Amino acid sequence: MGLFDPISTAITGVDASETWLNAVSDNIANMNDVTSTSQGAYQERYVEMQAVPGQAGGTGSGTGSDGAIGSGVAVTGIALGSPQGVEEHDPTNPLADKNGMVRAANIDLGQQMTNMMLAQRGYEANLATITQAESAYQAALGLQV
Amino acid sequence: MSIIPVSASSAALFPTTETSQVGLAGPTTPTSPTAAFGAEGTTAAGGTGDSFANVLGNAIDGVQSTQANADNLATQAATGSLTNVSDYMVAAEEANIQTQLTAAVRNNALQAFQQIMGMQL
Amino acid sequence: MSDVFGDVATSAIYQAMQGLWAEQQSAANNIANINTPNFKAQDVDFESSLAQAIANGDPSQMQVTTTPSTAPADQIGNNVDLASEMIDSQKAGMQFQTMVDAMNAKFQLLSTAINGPSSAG
Repeated sequence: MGLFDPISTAITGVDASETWLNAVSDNIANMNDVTSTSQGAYQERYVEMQAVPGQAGGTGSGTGSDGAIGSGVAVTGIALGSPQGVEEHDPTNPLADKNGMVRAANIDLGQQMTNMMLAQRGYEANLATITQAESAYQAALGLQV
Repeated sequence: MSIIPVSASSAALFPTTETSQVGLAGPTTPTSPTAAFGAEGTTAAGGTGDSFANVLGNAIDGVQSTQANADNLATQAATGSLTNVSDYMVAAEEANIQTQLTAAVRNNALQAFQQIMGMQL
Repeated sequence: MSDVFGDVATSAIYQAMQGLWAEQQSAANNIANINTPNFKAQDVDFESSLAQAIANGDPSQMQVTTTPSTAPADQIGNNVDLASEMIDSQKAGMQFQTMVDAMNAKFQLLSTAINGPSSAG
């Protein structure tokens, strides 16, 4: 069991939320990208997260069906969405093909805003955990033996 | 954990008969040294109220039970079954004060004893 | 722990601190995984085990148990309830603070018995 376990666990949550926020802002910034139909559209970024399992013999591993308490979350990768996009009719665009079609990114702004709020909520919640754990440490350091 | 028992000697330190002319001065008073902690006299009303000697004596005898009470409430707080944290804090402070009182009395009694032993005959 | 700290109350306080620490860690882990798909929140219980161990006279027999929460999951399979995790974390923190104060009070009593009353009492 590490000395500052709750804090390092919360930091993994902060990092994961930050990665997600970056991915979401990337998606929103590129939602109006168009390419020609012979190329792939902008692919939506998805952040893949997985819980980090606890160490055997660590905190809370005495009994119970779940074993040890986990140590936070890890980002296992950034997945890319489909390059299909959506074909739009825009003949004045210099990239338009002979039918006047271009390929636009298929990003749903509503979904991205929702994800942004979730990521922000996760970010703030983990920061609050760090503050809380810090005051517990201060209390423990105040033990006057 | 038990405190150094002084309750056995408390009776000797606090005579139940009241000597009216001694305050809480040191052992230089002409009366017996144990009267240094003796009673101040009866209450202002001149009635049968508790003398200071009795109050002190009871306080020392009660040290064990206040400590046990504080321990009991601490255990309840540890298992989460204590409804009022203030109950425990008050009990802990009570135990603390009574322990300090007992320790102070012990120190002063020892000091008085040593001064007696040092007196030239 | 040595015999001086071997009484039931001190051991119970110490075990409670271990359990509360596990609760804080569990709350931190659940909050860190608030957006993880298919993650099930973990619940920690130590109080019932501690009460049982105290009744048997040895608080160090306490076991911290971790069970997955049966709360309903959202559309990504995650069942972490942020509000309740934050509240649990706060509660565990305050109880931890109380246990620290209780431990200090025990040390204070011992110190008074050894060294006499403190001048700042």
